[in-house]
Amino acid sequence: MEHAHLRDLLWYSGIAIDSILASRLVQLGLVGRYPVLFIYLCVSAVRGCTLAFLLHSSRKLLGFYGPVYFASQLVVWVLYFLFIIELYSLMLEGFPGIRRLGTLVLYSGLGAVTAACTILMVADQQFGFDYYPLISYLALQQRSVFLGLSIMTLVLLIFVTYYRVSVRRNVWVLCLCFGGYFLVNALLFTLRSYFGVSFAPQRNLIGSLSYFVALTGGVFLVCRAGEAESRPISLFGGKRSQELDAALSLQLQSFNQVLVKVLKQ
Amino acid sequence: MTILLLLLGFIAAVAAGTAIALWRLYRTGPEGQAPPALVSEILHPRRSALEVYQPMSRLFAEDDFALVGRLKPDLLKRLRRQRQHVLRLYLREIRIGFARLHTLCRILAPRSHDPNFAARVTQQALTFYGLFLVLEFRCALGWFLHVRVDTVDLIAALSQLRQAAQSVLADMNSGAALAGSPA
Repeated sequence: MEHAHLRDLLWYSGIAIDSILASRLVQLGLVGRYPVLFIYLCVSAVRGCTLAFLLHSSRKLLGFYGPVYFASQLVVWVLYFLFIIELYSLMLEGFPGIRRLGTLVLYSGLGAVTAACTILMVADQQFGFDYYPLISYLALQQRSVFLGLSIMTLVLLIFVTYYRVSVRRNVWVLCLCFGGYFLVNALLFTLRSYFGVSFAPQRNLIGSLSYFVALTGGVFLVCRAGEAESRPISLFGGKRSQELDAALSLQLQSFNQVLVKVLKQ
Repeated sequence: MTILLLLLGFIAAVAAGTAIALWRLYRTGPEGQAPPALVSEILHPRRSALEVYQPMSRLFAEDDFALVGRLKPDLLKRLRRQRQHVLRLYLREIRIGFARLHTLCRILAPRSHDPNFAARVTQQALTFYGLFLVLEFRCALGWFLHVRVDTVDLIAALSQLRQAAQSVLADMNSGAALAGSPA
């Protein structure tokens, strides 16, 4: 199979898997629990169909492809960040004691990540060759967005692990699927912005494949029971050293002996 | 190329961190409460933190060194070395004690009704570990002039965290008792 055909196949598979996961959420009655995810899937499916239609239609309509692509890309980015906030909210529901601190951590993390990505964009001026500077700029933006999303996912997971909160299996599955997808894309766009257009075919192929794999994981692993099941983690990780008391007492004895010796003299 | 390598390394670190965090969340462990005996041992020890760690602040009392210096100057170095070692052991002990208490607070925090508890615990932990680092640094450099003050602050941080945990646990227990009582 030709490279372009395989890419197109993966693209259409991506649209199909968006629709399948959205339908699965409806079927399981989880739309109310994951509203942002559902909206994202619908937007992504509609976007994919629209772009495919524009790409394969007349020359007149093809001119709309670029503006539609850029405008809808912005919406997708916003939905990704909203999805992270939704995951955070689902992870901490029922834990009022850490909600306030969690909000603080989430928004300060978001601020720090945005600042770091802006600095990186300003400092890093090494681009690969591209026919259109706008495409090169978009790749750089995508790199920043996916890096930011990966870091936010990590911050969220560290926070939850730190407070030993048990999360629902579905939330865990979505973190795994989307976290993996964000990381793969951060890597791909980093390479894309450095190697330029020569890396574009590989990026398109692996990017589409990673999206398909991530959402297929979601389709198979998200289930009704996953809302009731949680993944608890152990209470006390390490054991207290029993040798410490003995060593301390030995040292104190020795220290007392020195003092007694001095006082006797 | 340097920035590319740095970025790739950073992405690899984020990926590793994500994988570890997901694995820790996935790994099933004993669900439920911390054993009551352990909680009691941590929150209500037989001796208070002040009783246990008070000797730390007296380890470098000038009177002791003046006395030894007057009577047996050749023992002065040995005494200082011994006390430095004892201070290190005390520091290890207090760090372990604080870590256990902090772990318990982290378990209590999500279930507590006080929305400020987690922030307070984090603040106490930052204070404690900040003081601890300063003390370790001074100990490594052989500056023992401020040990007395620093150890008092360290003990105070431990006691405050213990009090906060005790009050949150009492609140949780009274809430559970109210929920369980017949109307």
